[in-house]
Amino acid sequence: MSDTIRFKADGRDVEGRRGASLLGVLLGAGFDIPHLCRHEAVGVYESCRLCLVEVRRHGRARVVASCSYPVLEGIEVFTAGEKILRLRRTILELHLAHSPKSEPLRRYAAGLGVEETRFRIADPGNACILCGRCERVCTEVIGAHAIGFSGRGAGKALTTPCEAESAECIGCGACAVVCPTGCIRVVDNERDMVREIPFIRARHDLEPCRLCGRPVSTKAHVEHLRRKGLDEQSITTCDACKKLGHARLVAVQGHM
Amino acid sequence: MRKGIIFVSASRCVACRRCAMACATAHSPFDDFFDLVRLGGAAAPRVVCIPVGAGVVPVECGQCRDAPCIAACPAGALARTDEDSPVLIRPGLCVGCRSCVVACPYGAIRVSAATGEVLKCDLCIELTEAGGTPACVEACPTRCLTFAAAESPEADADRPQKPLAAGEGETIRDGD
Repeated sequence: MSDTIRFKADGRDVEGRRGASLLGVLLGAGFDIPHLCRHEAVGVYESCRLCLVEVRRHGRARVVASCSYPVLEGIEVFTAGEKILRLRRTILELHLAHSPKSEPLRRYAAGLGVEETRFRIADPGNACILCGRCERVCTEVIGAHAIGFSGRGAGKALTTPCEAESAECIGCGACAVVCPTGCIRVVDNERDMVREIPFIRARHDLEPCRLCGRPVSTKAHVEHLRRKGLDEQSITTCDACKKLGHARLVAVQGHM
Repeated sequence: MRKGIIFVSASRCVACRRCAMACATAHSPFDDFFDLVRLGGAAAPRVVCIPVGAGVVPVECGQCRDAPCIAACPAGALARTDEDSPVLIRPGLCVGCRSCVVACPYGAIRVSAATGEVLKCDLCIELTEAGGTPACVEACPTRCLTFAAAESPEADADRPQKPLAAGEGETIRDGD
């Protein structure tokens, strides 16, 4: 059995590795398919539904989320037909009605030609689209399990256990980096040496650089790296001091 | 493909910063540093010139043998293809936790404030794979920067085997 799968997408011949996701292969082949909940570092969650495409197989057509659909021999894929574009616009309108406060989401939707929504706005203050990127990264990559979903249906929300400050959070801020809507923000206060991530109720003391006192990261993140067995001096010294220390060493030695 | 690492001879540096300009240009869509600045590209050099005394020292990634950045990365976004290859980042896998930045003993990894992208020397992998030298080495007019195999005898003695720490017990500030 060959490991290479051949299929057609918008009339083009495309090849993918057996077991790969349709979305990954199409993006790799240069197709421009909108997606918000997919992140390469974590598992598939298929919640944003924007990556939907039409797949024809054995003479039947169906619309699937391409992130969770495998590449299959001989299928025909249509990524930008009239029907797909209409569905995608509707989904974007639903996202806009659910999360109207997200500026990046509005810009993203506008880029795809959707400026306003015909649906009722439930909570004008909401910016989270429940894509689960933050939760999967925190659980699967960082291993902290600090955040998760509560409730279901219309009551579903991204939150911390018991909606209290999470004891597991290490304050690394990866959730904010992977958030596509900008609703998770990291606020560092260098004067009080505190990091806050309000959306997930996190508050962390910052580790001061052992040389200059400026923040390196949160104390919990440094402790997390310490437990991984990383060099103590490296993880307690800030970026600028490490550069300068190394530059001085090179200057003294004359070479590196 | 040429394999090696970048060596710095501090006494040869004349503080022209061509290495940083060449690096920023090589890691941008532009062919020329002035185009990069003029057309508003984000200059993101991987090599940074640090003032020390009257001169500067270019701080380059040492491509450590037992690289702490790889050990620190929880996403597997930093990896090398074999033991002589540079430590490379796969941007799609990065989740932005900054563990590599905290773990690097030299401060040779940073995160772009503009794009959130992790900036790390890749030894200009496309150039070295084609048999060339990294852009900073190519641009250096005084041969302060050289690209040599890590196995060469004079080179291996200097190669960081384990993390070197910043100046012990002294307070260091920017521009000091």
